[in-house]
Amino acid sequence: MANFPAPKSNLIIERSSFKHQKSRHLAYISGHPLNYAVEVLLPGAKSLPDSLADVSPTLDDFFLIRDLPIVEFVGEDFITKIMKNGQFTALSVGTKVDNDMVVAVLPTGHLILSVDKDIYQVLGLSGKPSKFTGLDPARYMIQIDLFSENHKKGKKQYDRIIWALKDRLNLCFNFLLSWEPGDGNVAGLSQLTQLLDKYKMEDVSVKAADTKRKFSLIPELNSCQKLKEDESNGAHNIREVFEWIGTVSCDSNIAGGPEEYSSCYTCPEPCVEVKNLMCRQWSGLITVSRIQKMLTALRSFVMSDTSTPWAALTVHGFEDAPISWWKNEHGYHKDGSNLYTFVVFPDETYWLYLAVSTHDVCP
Amino acid sequence: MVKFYDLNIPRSNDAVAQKHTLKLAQRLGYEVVAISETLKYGDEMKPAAPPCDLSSEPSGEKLQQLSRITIVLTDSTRTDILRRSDVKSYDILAVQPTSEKTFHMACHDLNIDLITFDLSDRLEFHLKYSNVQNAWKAGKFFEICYAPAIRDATRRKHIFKAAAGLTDRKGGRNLIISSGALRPTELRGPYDVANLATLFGVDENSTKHCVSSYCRALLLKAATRKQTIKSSISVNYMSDIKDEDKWKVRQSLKESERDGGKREAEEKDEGEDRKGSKKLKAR
Repeated sequence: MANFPAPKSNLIIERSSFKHQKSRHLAYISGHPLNYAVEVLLPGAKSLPDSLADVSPTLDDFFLIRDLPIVEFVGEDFITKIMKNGQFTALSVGTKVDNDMVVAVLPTGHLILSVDKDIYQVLGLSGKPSKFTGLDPARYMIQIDLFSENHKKGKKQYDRIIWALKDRLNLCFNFLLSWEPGDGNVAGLSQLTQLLDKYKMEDVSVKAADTKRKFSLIPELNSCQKLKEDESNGAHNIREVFEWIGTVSCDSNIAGGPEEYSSCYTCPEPCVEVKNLMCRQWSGLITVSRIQKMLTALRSFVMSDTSTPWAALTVHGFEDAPISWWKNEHGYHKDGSNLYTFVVFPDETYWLYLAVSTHDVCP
Repeated sequence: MVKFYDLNIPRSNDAVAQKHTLKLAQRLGYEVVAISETLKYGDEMKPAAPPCDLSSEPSGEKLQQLSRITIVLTDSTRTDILRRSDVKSYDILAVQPTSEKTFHMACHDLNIDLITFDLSDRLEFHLKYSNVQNAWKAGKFFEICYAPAIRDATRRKHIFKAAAGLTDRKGGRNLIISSGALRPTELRGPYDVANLATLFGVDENSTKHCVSSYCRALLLKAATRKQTIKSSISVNYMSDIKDEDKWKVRQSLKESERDGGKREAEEKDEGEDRKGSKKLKAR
């Protein structure tokens, strides 16, 4: 009775090189489409370098559309004109994944509905019970492949989906949408607005927030260090480095020292002092391609700039997203975090941390 | 819907204070609340009062308000109070046993939804596992209120002791936790209540169920007590079926507004089924 363990969570750590043939860094980025924040941590930099400002997410816009029926995403016109002509991402906003119904559309053309038992029994689409609700499922996942051959006018599957989403229960939500038109499609956005002009659509821009600190201690990392090396050799505890990056991003890095009353947290040893430490966070609906461009720019910056010993790029997924990586189910028990961090070194190697919470399939 | 429920907000004579409590409950994330009246033996039972008017608040109408009556059982021979017609006007029927006999009776014999306890003093009787198990099999739920623990340190001990008795072997499978809050400051958010359930001894995966799924199951059981015959059949007129549900009943495809149409459909039914058993719309 006296032992109250914390809810389980998983932290996966990988170490590889960007140039390695079997490196999975691109797969992890492209497999995690529903991102709400990206952060860059640059020890030694005073301000955001130009190479990163050129690929900053503030250049992207995304849209908030109110009371949009889900059936709009399922129509053949919409799929052929918009979804197949670029990277389209949508997520219902204001809905909680442990209470309400959540809807997401992925760039791969999948429509994901996370519904509770009452709606599932009435809706009429087939799905699988959630992995996190035990023997008597209270939650179901419906996944529809909108790019499949069977999803065309006249086919049974198409008619059934339209009937369920429109005639059976005409479900409407507020959505965050993002669309990157494919190559050569210059007039793309006007097509999207034309198709959805009967609904209230607002342009939303990505917000940026800064955390700068002078004269800070940072861990002195060695890219050749193995993940499970003995700390007495001067190696770092990999988990403590991740925790340190987290304290900087939460702006709670009050490293007072062992005698300090309010916080006896110290920077993981060995550490080195730097004159500047820059951390910038962008929040909004961040697309996969933007993150890939940022990682490429960060890699070249770290290689070229001598004052930056290493850099970190953290991407946070939506806490209320129905999926985390690929089509793995994501739930919210007491915590809904699904995030990953790249620690990039000048010799093109990296450490990758993937953190998921209780109701998450290990990626 | 697996929403968050708070099934015990005592009715207050001060309408403004009640409104504040309900507003805060909605802000904290609760979507369904039950406003409860306590009835001691000798008091007159009144029919359920209408819900508090929250139409002036932004999204105040989204908060679903239910009515609940808690009957204090002091005498095991006097259970006629449960059979009064006014009881049907309440959504949830709860009893509060005060002795070993009344607790045994509540778990075995009475047709009720919820068993609650007054934990301002030490419970005078033990929570025998056989009674708890019987109540679970009958689909009845137990309730623990956390607001008394906030008010007084001595009551905290009693609450934890009672909760430990209820979660002893089954891990709190039919335990719901509600506030019992007399003031808005005694309310806590649903995730905090789920963490409190961990301290009570409820299994980690089931802690959120104490404020969501089990409450939903309780309301479904209460609905079967109110609206159905022996929890298996309910009878409705075909003209009462909503438009979006008409596809479920084959006869209602040809819509008819006349009463004659209703009778026609029922006669067709009897003709088709040779054994003569009537097909009723079962809920």
